[in-house]
Amino acid sequence: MSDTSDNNAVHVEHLVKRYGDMLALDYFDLDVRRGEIFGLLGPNGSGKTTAINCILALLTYSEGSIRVFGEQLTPTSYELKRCIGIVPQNVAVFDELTVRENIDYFCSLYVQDRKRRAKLVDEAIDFVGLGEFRGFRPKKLSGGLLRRLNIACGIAHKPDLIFFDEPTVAVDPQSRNAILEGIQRLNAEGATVVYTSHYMEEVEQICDRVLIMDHGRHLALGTCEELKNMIELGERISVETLDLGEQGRSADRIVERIAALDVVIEAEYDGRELTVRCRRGEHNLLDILGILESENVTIGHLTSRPPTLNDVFLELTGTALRD
Amino acid sequence: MRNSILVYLKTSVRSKAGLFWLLAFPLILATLFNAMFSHLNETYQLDSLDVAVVNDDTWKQNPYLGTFIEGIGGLDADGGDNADSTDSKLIVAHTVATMAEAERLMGEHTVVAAVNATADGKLHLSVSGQAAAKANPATGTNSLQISLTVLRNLIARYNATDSTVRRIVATNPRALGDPGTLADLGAYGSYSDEITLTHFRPDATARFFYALFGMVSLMAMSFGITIIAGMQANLSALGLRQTVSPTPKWKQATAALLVSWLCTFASMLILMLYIRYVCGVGMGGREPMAVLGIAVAAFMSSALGLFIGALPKLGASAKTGLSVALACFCSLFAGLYGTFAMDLSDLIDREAPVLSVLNPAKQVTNLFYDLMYFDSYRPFFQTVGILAAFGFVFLAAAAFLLRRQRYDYL
Repeated sequence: MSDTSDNNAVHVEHLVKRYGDMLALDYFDLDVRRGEIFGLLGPNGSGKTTAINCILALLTYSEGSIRVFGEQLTPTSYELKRCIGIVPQNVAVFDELTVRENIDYFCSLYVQDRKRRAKLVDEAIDFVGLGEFRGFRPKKLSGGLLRRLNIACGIAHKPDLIFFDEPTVAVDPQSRNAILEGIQRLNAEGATVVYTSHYMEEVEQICDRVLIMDHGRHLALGTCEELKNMIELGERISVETLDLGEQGRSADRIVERIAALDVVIEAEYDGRELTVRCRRGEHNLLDILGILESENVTIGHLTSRPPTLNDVFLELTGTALRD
Repeated sequence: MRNSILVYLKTSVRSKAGLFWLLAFPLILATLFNAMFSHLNETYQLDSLDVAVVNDDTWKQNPYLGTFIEGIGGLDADGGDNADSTDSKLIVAHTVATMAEAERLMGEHTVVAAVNATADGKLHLSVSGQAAAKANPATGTNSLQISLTVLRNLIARYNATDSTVRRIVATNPRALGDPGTLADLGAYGSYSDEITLTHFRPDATARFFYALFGMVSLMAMSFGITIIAGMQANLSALGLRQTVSPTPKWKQATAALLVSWLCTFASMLILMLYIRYVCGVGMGGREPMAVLGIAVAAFMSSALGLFIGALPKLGASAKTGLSVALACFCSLFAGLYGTFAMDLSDLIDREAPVLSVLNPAKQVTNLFYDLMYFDSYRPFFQTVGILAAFGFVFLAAAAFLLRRQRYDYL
C-alpha cells in the first residue's frame, strides 16, 4: 500500500460490484483526503450509495480494495467503526423514542460511558438546534427537524469520518442552510466528510473536491473550478429581444448567423429570449452583440453567466432522464 | 447491551399496535369466550319451575301428595305455596283450587305446568303448550328441558312407589312392619357410580381458553421479528445505522431475544391471570407451574420470532404477515376456533401424533391441559421439554442466519 492511501481517510481502488448481470461499480476509484469535505455526485443509479455501502462493509464486492484510515474495514472492525458516522438518506430513528432517547441510543452503540455520552448527546442536540424538542417523538417533528435529528444520531459520537447521503432531501431552505453550516462546522472541528447530493449548489457551496460518477465509473474529480474548466462550455449568454423576428427580419436567419460563430456551441430563440452557449473565448459577447447590432435588433436585457457545477454534471452525465 | 435492552423494551411497550394485538386482543377474545361459555354452562343448570298445584278435594284426600310437593320445594310445611322463595327448589308451587284455574295460569304463562291428583291417588303432570315447545330438544333451551324431565321422573317415581305400597298393603300388610322393606321402598337403585379420575374438576370449556394461549404465544413472535428486522441493514435504514455501529450483532440479537421473551412472557402472564381470576378457568390448582410453562412458551415463541425475523430476502412486513398466518394456522389445529377445530385437533392427536407434536400452538395449549387433567407432572414436563427443544432449534437457526455480516443487496 502506498503512503498516499495511508494518508487518506478513504482509499478505494478498482472496486467492482455486480448485482447479478448488472455492473454497479466498474473498477471504481476514490480517494478522500483527511479533513476535507468530499462531494460524490452522480445521477440516480450511478452507484454512489453502492460505493458508500461497500466502503462501510455492508455490501460484498467482487474485486478491488477499500481502506479506511489506512486499514481494511470489515464488519468486525469495531475499533475502526467507532471513528465512522453515517447519516443515511432515509431518516433512521425510532418513532417510539423521544429526540433525546434516539440520539442517546445511537450514541450508546459507540460510547459506553454514560457520563461522557450524556455530554455528547447534549452537544449533539445543541449542534442541530433541537434543544426545545428534546422530549418530542419524531412524529411530532417537521421534515426539517426530522432531518436534523437524523444528523444528530449520526454525529453525536463525534466521528472522524462522516458519510452524509443526501441529508437535505425534502428540506426547506432555512433548514438546508442550517444543515450545510453544521456540516462545515463539523469539518472545521476536524471531521472528514463524504457528502452525496443531487443539489449542485450545495455541493458547490461546501465541498472542497467533487467526484462525478456515472454507470459505476469515475468520470471527473477536482475542485469545482477545476471541474468547470474541464468542460467545453465557457459561458451562457442570454439576450432578451422584443423584435428579433419583426421589421422584415428573419429570426431564424439571425440565429443561424450566431450559431455559425466558431465559439458558439448552440443558439436558441424562444420568441422572447435568445440563449447562446459558448465555448471558452475572450470576445464571445462582443461577437454576438456585433451580429445583433448589424441586424438592428433592440436589446432589452442581457446576462452572461459562467458555467455552473450543474452544467458540468449535465455535460458529463448527459441529459437523458434516469430512474 | 443494557441500553439496547432498555430501548427495545421502550419501543415494544410504546408501540400501540403491538400492545393492542398482544395485550388487548387476547383479553378481548378471552372475554368473548367467557361470555359464550358461561351461557353454555348456564344451559346445563336446573331452573326452578313455576308449577300450579291443584289443591282440590281429591288432592286433600291424600296427605302424602303435599309432603311430596313440599319435598321438591313446592310447598311450605303449613301447606302454603312458596312462590317467594326459589333457592335450590325444583318447583315454585302456585296453589289453585281447580284444574280450570291451573289451565288459566298455564294459558297466561304464569306457570309452565300443573300437578293434580287423580282419582286413584296418583300424581298427574300437565305441561303447557308453550313450555312443551320451549323444551323441544331441537329448538328449546336445555335448562327448561332438563328441569321438566327431572320433575316428570320424580312424579313417575312417586307414582311407582305409591303403587308398590298399595300392592303390599293389599297382599302382605305385615311386611310394612319390617324396617328393611320400608328402607327398600325408599331406595333408588343405580347401576353406575361417580368417581373422580382427575385431581381437579374438569371444565369442558377450559380447552378453548388454553388454545388461546397457543395463539397468543405465536402472535407474540412479532416482538422479536420487529426488533430483528430493525437490526438488519437490508431491511431498514435503522438496521443500516445499527449494522455500521461498533456494537456486535450478537449483542444486539441477545438484547432482542431478552426483550422479546420479556414482552411475550408479560403478555401471556396477564392473559393467564385474567383467564384464571376473572374468567374463573382453572389451571388444575397448579398456577406456579402454569407460570413456568408460560416462561418456556415465551422462550420458544421469541426464538421462533428471531428465526423468522432473520430469514433473508423477506421484508419486515412480509415477516410479520408470515407470523400472523402461522399463528392462525397452528391455532386452528390447536382447537381455537370452536368445536370443529377441537375435534380436528383431537383427530390429529389420535391419527397423526407427530403433526400434533410439531405444532407449537398445540404444545403451548397442552401445557395447561397437562396441568389440568393429569395427576402426574410428567406430561407437563414432557411438553415443557418439547417447547424448550423447539426454542433451541429456532435459536440455532436464527444465529446461523444472523451470522451473515455483509449483504449482496441492500
